[in-house]
Amino acid sequence: MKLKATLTEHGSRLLWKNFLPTIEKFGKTCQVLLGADEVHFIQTSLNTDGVHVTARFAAETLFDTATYRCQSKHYNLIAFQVEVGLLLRVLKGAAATNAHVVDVKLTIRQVTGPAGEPQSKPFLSFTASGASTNVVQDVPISRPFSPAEVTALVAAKDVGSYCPAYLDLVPGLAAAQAIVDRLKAVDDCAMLAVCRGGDAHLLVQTTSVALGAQIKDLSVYPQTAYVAAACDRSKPVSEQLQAALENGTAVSVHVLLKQLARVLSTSQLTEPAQVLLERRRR
Amino acid sequence: MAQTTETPTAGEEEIPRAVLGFANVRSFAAALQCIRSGNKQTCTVSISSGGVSVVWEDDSKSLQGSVFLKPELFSRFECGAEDRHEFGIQLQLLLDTLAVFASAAAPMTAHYPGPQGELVCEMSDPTLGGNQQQQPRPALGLMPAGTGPGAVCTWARIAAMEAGAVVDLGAYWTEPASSFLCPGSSLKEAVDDLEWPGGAVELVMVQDPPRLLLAASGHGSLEVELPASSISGFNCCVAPELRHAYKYRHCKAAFCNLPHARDCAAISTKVSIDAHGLLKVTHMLGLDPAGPHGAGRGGLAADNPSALLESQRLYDSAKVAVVQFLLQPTEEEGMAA
Repeated sequence: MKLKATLTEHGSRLLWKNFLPTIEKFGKTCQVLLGADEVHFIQTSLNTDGVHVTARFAAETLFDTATYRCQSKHYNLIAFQVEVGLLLRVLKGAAATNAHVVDVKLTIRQVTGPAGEPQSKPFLSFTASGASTNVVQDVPISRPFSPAEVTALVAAKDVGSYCPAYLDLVPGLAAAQAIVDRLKAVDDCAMLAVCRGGDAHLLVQTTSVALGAQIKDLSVYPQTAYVAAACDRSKPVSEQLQAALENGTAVSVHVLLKQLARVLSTSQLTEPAQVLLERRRR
Repeated sequence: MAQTTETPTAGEEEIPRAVLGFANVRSFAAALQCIRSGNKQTCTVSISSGGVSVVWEDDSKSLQGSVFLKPELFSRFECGAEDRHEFGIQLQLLLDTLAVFASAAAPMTAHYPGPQGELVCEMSDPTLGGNQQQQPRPALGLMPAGTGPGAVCTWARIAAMEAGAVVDLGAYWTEPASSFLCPGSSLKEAVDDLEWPGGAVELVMVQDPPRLLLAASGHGSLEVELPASSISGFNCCVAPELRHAYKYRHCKAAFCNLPHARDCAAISTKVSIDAHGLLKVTHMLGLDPAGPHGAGRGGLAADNPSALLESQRLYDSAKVAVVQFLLQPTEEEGMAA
């Protein structure tokens, strides 16, 4: 098993400025899956309180492809779990010392165990080389995943591949965020529905109030999933939703508003081109 | 005033309904926020051709808060001349719902009763959808009008409850009454300060020379005299002085919930006390903070305390909501006075 890479300046900034802070909001730890072409940062419900997070990067976005080596006996995939805060601190530190180059490699080091006996432990070793300083920092990581664990993680990262339809929420993102934040006062849980006509619905229902919002005419992906005129616009919004759920053009889930708000707020850090909403079939 | 005619559904009897248009949801919410003093308040809303009132009565029956909204405040007001709708509603729920609507800048339409006798609110905000043109709104305003990607339609149905029978304390109002005008912010400050002694608040008006004092004593005592410069229209009809005490909790509800000037400009506050010590606190709130009246930092009366006539003129002409509280004096003090 061999991992050696040089972080590009852009890649390093993306990580410490945008993505790692986002990931840190959802949980303290995250799973990293490295392959020859792609790098994934994944948080399953083991890492978070229920939200599933996947950040996928092309290897060349983060690393200098000329020096990138990722080799293992299992399809050249390497995976491990790491504490997000430590990773973030190392990369921020490298940026703060104006390092030109940050090299990363996977190492095994002898450390003293709790009972005083020597132990071999895996580390991610970061070497930040600047004009006048070289800083080497080792971040402890979990034991690299076994082939079975890697396979499970690969399946977990493909969370989106089963979805029949997505909506791009970007045009209504600010409004959706404002509404979700305020809906939290009304109830903990909301129904989120995605309609293949391009509408997203949020609905909070308690014994004394039904409060809904419809975000209209969003782009539907893939385009084959788009159903033109799925909704009768002449009807009240609540009836449009009901009709779409009944005729199968819309699917719905119940989500905790607290978690939905956190997911939507990540867009402030990552400035996405698309925010896709969907319901995964289980 | 146009009578709404809605096509009757499934042979049901046609129910005349009231339709209200809110151009600026945020300031209406701010005005209603004034009478909020707990999480479990049930208010009685009544809609008639004369306007909308929201009344709340404290469990002790010795404190009432109300908001009165003139028909002119609404961008649309439809209620038959003979109709009177009355229903109960959970105030906190209404405020939470309005907060969702207030997150957008679009006008909201409310109508009552809905299909199940509920209060129905709808808003569609085409401005959020990016750069497309404002669409002309359909006549009834209840159909989605927003277009373009990301346009948002928000709707709510709030269950109406049976209207509580509120006996208006104002019916017991007995002349002669003493009164004064004072900027709401000064009174709020004074009442806030009187919290620590932990006792009832005594309101003292001295006839000559005119003085206004607020005092509280419990495990300590504190007296606040409001400067003569901030008081106007001082009229004390009991010689040599008038003295009544009120529960601190009630005073806090009546004086300390003024909205932020950004949402609602406090134009003036009038305080009157009737012959038996019944205290009436009236806040006039400008519901159009973007307009010329709301531009001032503390409202008109704060800048110029002698603006009695001015505020009357504003009330007649402008978008002013009236928030009123009625407080009964605490018993032993009321007897002594």
